[in-house]
Amino acid sequence: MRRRWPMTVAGVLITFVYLLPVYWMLNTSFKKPADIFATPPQLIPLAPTLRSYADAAFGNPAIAKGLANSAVIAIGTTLLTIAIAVPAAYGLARLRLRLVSVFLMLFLVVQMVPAVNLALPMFAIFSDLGLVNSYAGLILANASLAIPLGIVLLRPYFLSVPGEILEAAKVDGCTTFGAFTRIALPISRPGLITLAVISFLGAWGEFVFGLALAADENLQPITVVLAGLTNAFGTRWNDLMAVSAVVALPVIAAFVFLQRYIVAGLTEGATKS
Amino acid sequence: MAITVPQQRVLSSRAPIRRTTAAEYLFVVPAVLFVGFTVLYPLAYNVVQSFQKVGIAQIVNGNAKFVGLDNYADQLGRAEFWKSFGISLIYTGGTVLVTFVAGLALALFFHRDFPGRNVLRALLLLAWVLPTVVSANVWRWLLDGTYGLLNTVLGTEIFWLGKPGTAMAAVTLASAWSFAPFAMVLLLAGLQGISGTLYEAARIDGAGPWAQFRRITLPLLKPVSLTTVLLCFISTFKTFDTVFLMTQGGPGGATEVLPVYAYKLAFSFYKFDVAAVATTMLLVVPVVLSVFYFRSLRKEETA
Amino acid sequence: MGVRRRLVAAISGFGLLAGVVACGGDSDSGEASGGGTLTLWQYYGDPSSPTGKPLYDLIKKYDDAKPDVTVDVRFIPYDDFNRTLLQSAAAKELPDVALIGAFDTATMASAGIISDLGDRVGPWGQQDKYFKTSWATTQVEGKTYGIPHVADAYAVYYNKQLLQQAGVKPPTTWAEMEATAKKLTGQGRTGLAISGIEGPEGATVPIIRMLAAGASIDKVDTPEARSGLDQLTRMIKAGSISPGALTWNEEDAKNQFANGKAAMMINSATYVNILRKENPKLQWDVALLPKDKTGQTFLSAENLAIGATSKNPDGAWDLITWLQQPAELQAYLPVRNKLAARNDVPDASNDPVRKVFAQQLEEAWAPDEKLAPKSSEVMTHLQAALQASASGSASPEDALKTAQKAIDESLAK
Repeated sequence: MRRRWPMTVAGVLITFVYLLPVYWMLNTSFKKPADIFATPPQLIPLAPTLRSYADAAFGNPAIAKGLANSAVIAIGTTLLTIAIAVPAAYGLARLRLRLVSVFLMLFLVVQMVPAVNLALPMFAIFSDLGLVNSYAGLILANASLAIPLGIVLLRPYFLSVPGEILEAAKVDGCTTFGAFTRIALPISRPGLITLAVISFLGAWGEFVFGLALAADENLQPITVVLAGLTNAFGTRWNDLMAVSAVVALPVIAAFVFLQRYIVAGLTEGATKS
Repeated sequence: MAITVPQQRVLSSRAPIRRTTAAEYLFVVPAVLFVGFTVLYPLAYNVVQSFQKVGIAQIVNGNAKFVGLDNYADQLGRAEFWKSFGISLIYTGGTVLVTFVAGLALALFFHRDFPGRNVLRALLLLAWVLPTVVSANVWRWLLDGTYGLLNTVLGTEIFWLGKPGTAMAAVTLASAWSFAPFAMVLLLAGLQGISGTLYEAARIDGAGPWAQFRRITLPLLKPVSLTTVLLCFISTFKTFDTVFLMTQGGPGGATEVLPVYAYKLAFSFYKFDVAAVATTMLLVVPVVLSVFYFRSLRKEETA
Repeated sequence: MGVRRRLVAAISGFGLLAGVVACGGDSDSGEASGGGTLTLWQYYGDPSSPTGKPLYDLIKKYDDAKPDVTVDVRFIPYDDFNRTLLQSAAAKELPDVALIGAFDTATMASAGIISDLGDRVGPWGQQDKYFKTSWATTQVEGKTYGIPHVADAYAVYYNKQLLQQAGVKPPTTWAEMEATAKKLTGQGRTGLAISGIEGPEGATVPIIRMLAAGASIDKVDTPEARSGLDQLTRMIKAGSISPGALTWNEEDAKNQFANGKAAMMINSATYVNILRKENPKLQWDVALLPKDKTGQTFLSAENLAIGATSKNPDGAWDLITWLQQPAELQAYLPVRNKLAARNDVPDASNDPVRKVFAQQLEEAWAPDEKLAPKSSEVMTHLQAALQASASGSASPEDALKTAQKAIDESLAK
């Protein structure tokens, strides 16, 4: 066991170097304007300050609004994805039909569609339906790719629920729906959490749909707001990095608290997508 | 791969025991309708638009006219389109290569057993889930010509994003940086599927680490590698945000990959019709590749 | 609009969201009866920025003068401005008043994004007060689609100290410019900063240079245009214009000049007060643009237009005409660092720097009626030519050939 510790040290080093961009973002965000241009660069902020966070990130109403919008869009997408993908994944796990593989294939292939391919026609379609500039439009767009992913991700969880248990439940008087909610859902709880986290994070970081479908600043997600403001920051890299860090915050937090589910989701969802 | 596919096969053999009920169809219907409305309909709409004349006025007021194959003739006969297509291939090829090599190196390292391994492995995935707007800004800062960290470290003053070659290298690097941990996870799953006894046997036969890697690891990792490469290829080929946010396709169109090209046709030049041609063409490559992908999947399953 | 959306949301099987949709940001709550809220969109800047604040202050004066009206001003960055208008037109949520780029007026008009002001301009009767170049940008097929708000020109800002140290004077010809910029380059500094960023914004300096060479902007596959692009390319390759210019917008170019990284810059009057305020120690002045065959500058201007879906066009017109009163402009323009687009606004500031810009404005170029509807496209193509040639991915000759082809196509449509 003893000789494995050097490996750990090497691992920490590799990870640190790999995540250096993230470190540099945080490092810069805590610096005073003058210190960002110091030569040699300060590897840790010598006079750390929260001013960029106070002024540029939380002090800017546009950023605050964008964060709130992203929260609404991401939560809406998550709820919608769960509402539609979970029963579908269950149904596809239970049905024994040739059609099932057709649908599965459909949900797999759909995930290869570039977001731009959907965003441009959606702009035209949503214009007619009055869905451009609406949370509903953005949530629909985000869910368009999250739902197929969710189905593919969850179906294995439901497959692992033995059919006998569900049949037995029905014999005991449960409806099909009852068997789904009382037995299948609790068993696949980890899968549900994974799906919720993945669809939330996906919608949180989404950019193309927001760019194409939201022109109203009261609706624009933070990604679009930030991209629009980027030029205005000029050389105020400390401020830009502080805002970026705030946008990354939910992702980092999810990583700390829900790491297990994210890793599971990425490996299983990805291998099948 | 190894995680989910065999499991499914085992379970599906149990199928005949039970019969399905009508209620179970109802579980699937909303999803099919939803995907129909939000994916298939837009894709079809896009194809229709590619045969119409659609400018800014038609978007605002409707009344688009059909123009036959004019838009296709326009795009497919256009050097800019093919240039952009080529740039997409270079960007994708480069990104896949760097992603795979880095992902494999990381996988080989983190496959070893040492304290803290799982935490570090998961931490690396941060690069993969970070919102692109965030990572693109960070890369622009690291690569800044005047005060960027990279120039400071190298002692140079290069405007990385201002020259065609270095700008392409930069977007490739930034994309590979976020994809490599994802490749690592896939490849790790593959490595875990290789039995340790094979290495032991090889060691007894006197094979060194390199020989073991070449004779055992690489060949047995081939199916997973193929999946990894294909998935990376498809994800990279459709990437819009990293490139758009770092270079907007510049300088001089040097990084104008197809998705950015299509977006600009639509929202900078208001040519929604030829943009639809470009995005339709953008679909061809993933479709062809996914055919390969599913074929390889099936092979793997029956293997 | 809300009802329809709610319906779609409900049909989509998640009535839960309908509540969210209903409280979504409806910005156009304007009442049709004179008063209420007016919306105005602009790309100058937010209320805290030096380029945005003067407009907000001016609007506040209007608000105070009209107690029954509230003007809701929205800042949209320039890069996103036209796209946002297009998207909002599709959503039928255009602002009452849009402060648009003068050259974009024709594009917006032909797309039906802004309204014909013909019926209003006649009775108003002040169109003759406007300078011809400025007024021409509001005309599309004989109709008036905007009222010029302000005008601006480009000139050369130079760092007096650095020029003195190098023993050079501000260049008066482009040949001198190249030599002077070269002399000023070195010690981590470049001679001249310009904006050459992706998109129409980066086309200004190439256009200025080509105009100086006697080129016409819709015909760039010519020896004149080529000599202009050749020189800019040479200067970038020699390092006397930083290669970073290809990624800079005008603000970035200003920052280079402000922190002494560039000895000269070509920029608009916008930055006069900003430099004075933010870099009080910097010693600088402005000079007329260098000449070649001509010394033309680029007209930078904005027009006030009424959104096609505005529910309160009367209120919008009242706001526009109020903003254009000479008495208001006289106080506003020097603070905003802009020049008057009309001839009855005396410049009482007696500022020598403003005089240079005013003099430069007399030689301002603006696209003619044929070019105007496509000017944003054409400028994007010219910027692409600069990018291609300066970054070495094409020779200036090939870059201009490509640009010409694209321009011909744009104009043919």
